[in-house]
Amino acid sequence: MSVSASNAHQILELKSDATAEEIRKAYLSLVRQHPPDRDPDKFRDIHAAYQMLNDPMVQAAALLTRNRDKPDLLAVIAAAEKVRPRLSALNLLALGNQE
Amino acid sequence: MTSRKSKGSASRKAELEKRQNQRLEKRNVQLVTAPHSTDSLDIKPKVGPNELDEDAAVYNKDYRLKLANELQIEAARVNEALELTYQGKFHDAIEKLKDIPRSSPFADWRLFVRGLHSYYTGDLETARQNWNRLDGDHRPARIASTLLHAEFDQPLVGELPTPSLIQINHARVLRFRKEAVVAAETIAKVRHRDTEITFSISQVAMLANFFNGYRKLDSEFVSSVGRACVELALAQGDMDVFDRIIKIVPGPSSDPKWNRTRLVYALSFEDAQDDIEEASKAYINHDLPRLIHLPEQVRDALACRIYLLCADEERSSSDDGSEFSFSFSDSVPDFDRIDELLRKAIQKYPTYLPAHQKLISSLESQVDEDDVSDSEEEELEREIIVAKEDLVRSIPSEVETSLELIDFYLDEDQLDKANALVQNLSGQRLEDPLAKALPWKLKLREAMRLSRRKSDLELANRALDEAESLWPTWLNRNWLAFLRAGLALRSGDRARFLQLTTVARQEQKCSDFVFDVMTFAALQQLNIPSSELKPFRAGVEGQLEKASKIGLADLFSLGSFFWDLVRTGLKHKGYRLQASKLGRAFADQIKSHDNKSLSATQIDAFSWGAHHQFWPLGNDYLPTPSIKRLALQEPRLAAAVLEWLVESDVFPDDMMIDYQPMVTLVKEAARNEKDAFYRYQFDHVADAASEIIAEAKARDADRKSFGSSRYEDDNEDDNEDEDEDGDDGGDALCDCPNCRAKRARMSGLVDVDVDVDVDDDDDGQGKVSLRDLPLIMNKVTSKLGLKGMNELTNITQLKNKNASPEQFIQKIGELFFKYGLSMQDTIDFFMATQQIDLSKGGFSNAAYPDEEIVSRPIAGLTAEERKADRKQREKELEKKKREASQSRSRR
Repeated sequence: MSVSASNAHQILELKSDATAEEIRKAYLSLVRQHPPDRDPDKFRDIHAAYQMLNDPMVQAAALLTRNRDKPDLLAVIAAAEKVRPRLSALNLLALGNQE
Repeated sequence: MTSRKSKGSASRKAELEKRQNQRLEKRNVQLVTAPHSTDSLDIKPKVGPNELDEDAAVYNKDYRLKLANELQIEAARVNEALELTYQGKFHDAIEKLKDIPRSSPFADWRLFVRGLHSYYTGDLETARQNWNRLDGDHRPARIASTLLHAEFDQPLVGELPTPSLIQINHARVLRFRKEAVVAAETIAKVRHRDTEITFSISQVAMLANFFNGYRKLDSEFVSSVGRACVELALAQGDMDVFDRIIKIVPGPSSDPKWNRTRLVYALSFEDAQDDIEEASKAYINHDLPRLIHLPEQVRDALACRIYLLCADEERSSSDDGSEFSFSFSDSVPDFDRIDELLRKAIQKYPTYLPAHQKLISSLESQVDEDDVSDSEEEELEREIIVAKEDLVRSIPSEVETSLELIDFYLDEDQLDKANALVQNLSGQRLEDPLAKALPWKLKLREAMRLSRRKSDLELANRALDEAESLWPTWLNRNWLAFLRAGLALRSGDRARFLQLTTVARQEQKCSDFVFDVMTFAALQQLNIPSSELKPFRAGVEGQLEKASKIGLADLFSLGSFFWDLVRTGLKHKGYRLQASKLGRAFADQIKSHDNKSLSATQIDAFSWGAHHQFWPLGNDYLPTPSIKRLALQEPRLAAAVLEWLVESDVFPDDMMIDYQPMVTLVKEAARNEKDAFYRYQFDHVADAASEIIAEAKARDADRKSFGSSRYEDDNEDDNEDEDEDGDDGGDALCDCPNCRAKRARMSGLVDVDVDVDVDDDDDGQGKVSLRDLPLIMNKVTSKLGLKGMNELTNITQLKNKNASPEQFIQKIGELFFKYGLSMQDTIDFFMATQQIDLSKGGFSNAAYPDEEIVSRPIAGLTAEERKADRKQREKELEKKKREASQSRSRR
C-alpha cells in the first residue's frame, strides 16, 4: 500500500483527529504486532505512516482540513443516553458534608 | 471545483428563516431551559465538627500535612482516584488505590470507589453491597448514603447513615442530566422549511440557553453538543449563524477562538475576502503564539499553510470563478499582495517546496502578462532567480530548480555559482540521471563557452574530449561528431569540417534536412559567426517554410534529436522557432500514421511532442485510440502519454482514473528498465499520475457520500444502455455521441447544480430548459466531434480575460457555425447552459434532488406526451408561485 497523508491514519487504525500521543501509542502497538523481521511490508507502511503523521506540514494540513469524523449531534445525544452522569471529585466529596 | 456560496444570498435566506421562526423562538428557548437550579454544584466539601482528619485530608491540604508521610501519599491517591472516576477511568481509579492496606484509615475509600464504579455503570445492587460495608462515621459512607437515597427516593435499609434532605437534593442534580439530554434533543429536532439550512438562528438561541442551564452539570456533554452544533452550522452557507454560535461554544484546544475554523469556512464563500483576512490575521498573530501545546514547527507549518491559502484565495478571487461562465471579471490579480503572502509563507516554513514553487510560478505568470514593460520584465526575471536561489538554499536536494539555475549561471558565465551547485548536487547521491550527468554537462557547456574566443579553441577541444569521456550512457552520441566538426569550422579548418561532417552523415544515414538541422544546432552552440552560419540557417529555414511537406521519418528523427536537447537542457538559440514549426507538422502528420509499432527513435519523438504539449493532435486533449493501445504495450510511450496528460492544462484530472492501467504498466516497468533516464522518468511520472488519480478518487468518494459519483456502482453500470445520462465520463477514447456528451459533462461544460424554473411554450420545442440539456449537448458534441469539443473547451477553460461577454459568445457562435450547427442550436445551447450555475460540480440527480434528469429528449415526445409534460410543468410552476405568494404574505 502506498502511504499518503490521506491514508496514514487508516494504516495506523486511527481517527483523523487523533492526538500526537494517540498516534505514538498506535504506532508502538502496531510495530509490536508487525515487527520488521516478520512482516517487513506492513512494518514499512506503518513506519511511513507514522513518519507522515509526524511531519509538521501534514499535521498542519490535518488541522486545516474539516474533520471527516465530525461529531454528529444525534450521535452525541445517543451516546450520552448510554452513560450515567458523573460528579466531579469536589461535588462528590461535598455530598458527604455534615449538615 | 468546490461549490462556493454567496454570503449575501445565504444571509437573506437566514433572515427569512429567522423571521419565520420568530414566534417559535420563545417557545423553543423555553424548551431547553434547565428547570432546576444547578447551584448545588457550587457547593464545596467542608470539614465537619466530627470529621476525621484522614477524611478531610482527601480534599484539604492543611489536614493532609498533619498526617504522616505515608498517609499523605494515600490521601493524595484517593483524591486522584475520585478525579479519575469523574473522567470515566474507573479501572485506573481502582488500580490507583489497590496498594492501600485494609488497616489504613483510607481503606474505606478503596471500597467506596469500587462501589462508585458499579453505581456509575448502573449496577446499583453491587454498589449497595460494597457500600453497606462502609464505616458509618466516615465521609465515604455519607456520600454513598446520599447517592443511594437520591436514587431510590426512600430511606435505605442498612447501616449507612441517613443523609439530610438538602444533601439528597444536591445529589439529585444528577438527574438533571436526563433533562439536558432531552433539551439537546429539542435542539436537534428543529426542522427547517428550507432544506439548505442546517442550523438556524433560533437554534443558536436555544443552544445559548442550553449552555447556561447545563454547562456546570456536565461540561463534557454540553461541549460535545456545542461542537456538533458548530459542525451543523458549518454545513450551510451562513456566516452570521456561525459567528453567533462560536460566541457560545468554546473552541477546540488548537483553535480556541474558532479563528482557524472561521478562515476555512470563509474560504467556501465567493465574497468573503475580508473575513478570510481577518480570521487569518487573528489566528496567526494572536492565537498561534499562545498555542504552546503545539510544537513550534507545527505552528510555523500552520502559518505557512494559511498564508498559502490566502494567496490562492487572492488569486482565485480575480478569476471569474467558473469553467464556463458568462459573467466576466475585469479584475487583475493583486500580484504584489499574492507575492507578499507567498514570501511570508516561505519565511514561516522555508523547507516547504510548494510555497517556493507557487512564488516562482506567480512571478513567471507576471512575466507572461501582456502589459509588462521591458524593465518590469527584467526586474521580474531577477526576482525569479532570487526566488529560485532561495529555494535551493532552503532545500538543497531540489534537483529541478538546481538544474535550471545551473543553466542560468552557465548562460551568464557565472561559473563559480554553477560549480557550487554542481558540487552540492553531486555530493547528494541523487537518483536523477540529469543530476548525475552534471559533470558531463558542465564540460560540454565549458567547451561551448570557450569556443567564443579563437585563442581558447584548444581548451574547448580538450573540454569536449572530457565531455566525451563523461558522456551519459542513456544519451545518444550522434551529436558529438557535429560538435567536433563545429569546433573545426570555428578554428577556420573548413576541410576538416567537411571531412568530419561527411563521416557523421555516412554513419548516421540521415537525410539532408536532418543533417542540416543537427549541424546548425551544433554550429550555433559553438558560436560560429553569423556570416558563416548564414548559409546553414537559410537551408534549414527554407525547409521549415514548407514544414508540411517534411516526411514523417525526418520528423521522427528530428523529434528524437530535439528530445535529447530538451532533456539535457542544451537547446540552441534557434530551437524555439524550429521546434514550433516541426511540432505542428509532426502533430498533423501523426494523425494519418498507422502506428502498428514504434521504434526507440519514434518513441523519443513522441516524448518530445508530449513534453511540448503539441502531441499528438494539436489541441486535442486525448491520445488517439491507436496511441493508447500501443502505450499499453510500450512503457516509454505510456510514460510520454502520462507526462503529457499530467502536465496538460486542459485534460480534466478526473479522467486520469481511466489511465490507471498505464500507470501500473509504467510503475512496473521502472523496476526492469535498463535506461537510467527512463527508469527515473517512469517512477517520477507514475507517482505524479498516481497522485492525481488518488485525488480524483477522493473527490469521487466525496461526491458519492452526497449521493452522486462519477463512477456509479456495478449495478448501475450494467444498466448503462437504459440510462444514457449516467454520471460517468464515458469511454475516454470512444468517439460516439454519448461518450462525447459524457466527456463534455466531465470537462465542466454542462455541470448543473441548481433548480431551474421549468418553462415551456405551446409547441413544446421553442424554449429550452434543463430537461433538454442532454439532447442539446448530444447534438453539439456530435457536430463538433473531438476536435471541435476541444476548441470549445479551450474557449471556455482558458478564459480570455480581455474578452467581453459579447466577444466570448461570438467566439462560440463562430465555432458552432464552423462545425455546421444552426443559429437555433447555438441559441438552445446558450439558453440551456446560461440559466444554470456552471461553477458548481456534478451533473447528477443528487445535485438537484427535486429534478429528475430526463434522458428522453423533449423534442422527441409525442403530441400527447408533450401535452402531459406541459401540464405537469404548469402544475409545478403554479405550486411554486403559490408557495412564493404564501411566503410573501407571511412576511
